[in-house]
Amino acid sequence: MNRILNFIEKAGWPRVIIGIFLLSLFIVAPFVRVRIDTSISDTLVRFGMNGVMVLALVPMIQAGCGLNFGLPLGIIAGLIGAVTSIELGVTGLLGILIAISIAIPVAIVVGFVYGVLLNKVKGGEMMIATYVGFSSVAFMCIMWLMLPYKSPNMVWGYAGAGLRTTISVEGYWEKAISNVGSFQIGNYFYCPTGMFIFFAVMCLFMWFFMRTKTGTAMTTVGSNPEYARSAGVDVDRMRIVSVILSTVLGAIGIIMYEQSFGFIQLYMGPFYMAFPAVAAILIGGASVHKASILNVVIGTFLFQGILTMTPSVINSLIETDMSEVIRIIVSNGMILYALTRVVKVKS
Amino acid sequence: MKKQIAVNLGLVFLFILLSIFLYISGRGYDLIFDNQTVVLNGVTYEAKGIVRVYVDEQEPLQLWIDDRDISSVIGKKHQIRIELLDENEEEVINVMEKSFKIDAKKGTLFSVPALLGGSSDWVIPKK
Amino acid sequence: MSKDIFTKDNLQHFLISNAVPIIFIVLSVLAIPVSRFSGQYLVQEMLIRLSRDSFLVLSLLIPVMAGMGLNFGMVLGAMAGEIGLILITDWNIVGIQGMFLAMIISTPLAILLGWMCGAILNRAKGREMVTSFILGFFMNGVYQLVVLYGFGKIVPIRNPQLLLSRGFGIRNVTNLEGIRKCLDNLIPLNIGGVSVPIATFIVIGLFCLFVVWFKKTKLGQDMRAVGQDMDVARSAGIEVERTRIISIVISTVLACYGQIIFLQNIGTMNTYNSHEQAGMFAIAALLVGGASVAKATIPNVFLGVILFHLMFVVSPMAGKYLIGQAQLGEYFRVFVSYGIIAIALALHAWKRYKDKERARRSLRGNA
Repeated sequence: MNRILNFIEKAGWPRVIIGIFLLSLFIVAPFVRVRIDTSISDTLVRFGMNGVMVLALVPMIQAGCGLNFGLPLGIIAGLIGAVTSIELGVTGLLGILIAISIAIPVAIVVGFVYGVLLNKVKGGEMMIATYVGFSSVAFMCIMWLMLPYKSPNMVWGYAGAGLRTTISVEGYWEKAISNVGSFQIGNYFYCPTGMFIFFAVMCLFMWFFMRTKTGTAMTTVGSNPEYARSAGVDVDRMRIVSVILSTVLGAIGIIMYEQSFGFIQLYMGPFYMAFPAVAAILIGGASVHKASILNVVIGTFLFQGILTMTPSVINSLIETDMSEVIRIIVSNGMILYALTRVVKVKS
Repeated sequence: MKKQIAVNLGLVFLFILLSIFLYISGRGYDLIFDNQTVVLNGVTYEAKGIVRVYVDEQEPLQLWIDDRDISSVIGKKHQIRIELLDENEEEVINVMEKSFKIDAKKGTLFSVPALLGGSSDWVIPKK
Repeated sequence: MSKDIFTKDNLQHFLISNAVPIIFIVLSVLAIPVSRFSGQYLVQEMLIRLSRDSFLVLSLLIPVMAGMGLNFGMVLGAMAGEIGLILITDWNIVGIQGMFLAMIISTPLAILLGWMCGAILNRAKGREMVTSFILGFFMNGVYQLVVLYGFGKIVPIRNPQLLLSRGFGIRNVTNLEGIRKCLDNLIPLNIGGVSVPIATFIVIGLFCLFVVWFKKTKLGQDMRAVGQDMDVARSAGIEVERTRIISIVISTVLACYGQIIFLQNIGTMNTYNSHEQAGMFAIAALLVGGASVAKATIPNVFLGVILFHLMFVVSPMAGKYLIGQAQLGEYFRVFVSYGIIAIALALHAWKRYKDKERARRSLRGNA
């Protein structure tokens, strides 16, 4: 009994509740005639889709910049890459490669500016990041209308200019990464192996990075800035590096998301995308000051699992679609929990 | 401390009273006036012609035979004035004035002929 | 220490402190002629918007005084007000009585929500803004749960026009025809073709007096002390947590009334969006008026509402005449609303840093 309580204490109540909730959804699923293999497959696909974007939050948390509510900046860089790649008309894996290689320099520039800004506003990063994200999304709305993209698959038919709100990547690079080594079991189970490999590579990269000299210096800056300064670490520079890294990963993350989803969502699409990612990493056990790759993996799985399971199970249980409301309450409740808990640990 | 609680309770009570007052006085009703021949309690009231219905200070409703119209009012107590017109809609043949209280349970569908006929019961019951 | 050595510095300080209103004044001066609106139209629009929004914006003042930053939790108050409005619409209580009844029935709800918000913010000292911001989202979920699934099932709703066709849950748009402009038109007044909602302005005026009076009370002084330094306030015997909660409760209740006043002017309510917009616009307007996270005054409120809404009215038309696309102006408007909050928050954080430096320098000068 004590061991159980100890475990709950360590994992935190919300996480345990969410874990039990997800478990019970999986148990109930067969009884309300929801196919368990479809559910698992969907959960896996969404796990792969969102993984990299959640991973993008790690460097900034570690460097003490808090939860990156400014993730839309990275997403925008990724969107620019994706749209340009389609404009060039490249298909398959090469198309994604081009999208990523265009997105990364954009993300580095944007991330640098964003990092410099965040260095000027230490202590108030999260709120400012949120609104920088929001306003940049709105700014890009103007840009999507004005930028001179020409591909008939992307612009509004009648005007001949201005990008559409959703652009299909079908025929370009839909599921190009997902389908590498993917397999199908029966009619309902699909495993996007390529996406997992890609995600694993990114995680490994992050894991190695965190153990390099720069990586450990970054962690020191986050956990003890005074000590880091006295040890001769350039705190501001480290923070900028973390922000750039986060933005770049956000850019790659959205491209992963799109290739699996099949659509590029422009305009207000990226507006709220930071919140599910933040919620996921927090569910995985991260706090505002500390996050690990294990947090990312567990969190993304739990959160996406709930997002996949609630609509189908709850729908068949009470014949009402409450998934949207549950999503809002779970994700924001989780962020709220993390924000209020930090102070308690501190004092 | 006791006094404080008493004052607070009094305030709460006052607010409850105020809300009840607002609920009653601000309640909106849709009054339906019906100008067709009707049988109420075994008595037949015949629709006699075009009528004009004035409710409180509002613009009048003009009803032909077999016509009905809605007037939206606030609160329970109202004044109505019904004018029976001749066929040319020029002269007023008969005038009936009445003040009344709405009884929401009985309904808000009113029979104009019954009113003109002087019946005390002129609410057409809900079906 | 002579003053003129620092004039350049002082000018810079002035520009930084007032950067946001200055940017807005410049933008408006440029955009008004382009938009081709007549003066009378703009005056009428500004009067309407002043009467509509001032109360909501004023509700933000008290938490700023208590050092809790901009209360993004005001959306909780707005939700309470909306629930009151849904109920009176269902009961068909119309006119000014309906409005007052909505205020009375939503007050306990607003107090409860405000108390909850204050208690949560006490656990997140130093990050009140981001916490109240997320709390707003969270409660939006709860609000949807209650209104979209509870109303018509647990809370009885008789009027079928309010309900979705499935028999429970309130529709996306709630028609408030019954109380539309009931306060604005209570005392009709017309000056030179411009109608003035005088009763609403009287209510707003009373509220301003309340704020001025409140600052002088014992509680108001305590709040200021808490806002300046919590530890000092605590050692002076002030109950810091309680004072902070009260400031949020007052703000939430006032935001609730503000939302009711706002919606009686509009006359229709987006059941699931109105409150979110209320929060964002009120905060943006206050910041545009030159307020900061640490200091907000009554003039900031009125200047802010006028400047922000001037931009709001003018920008789509300006966009249309300038570039030929009204949609662009629309996006520009969204961009400006969010951008202004970002800039104001960033400037505030930056200014704090600069002020620290100034203080350090003047200290050195004295020694």
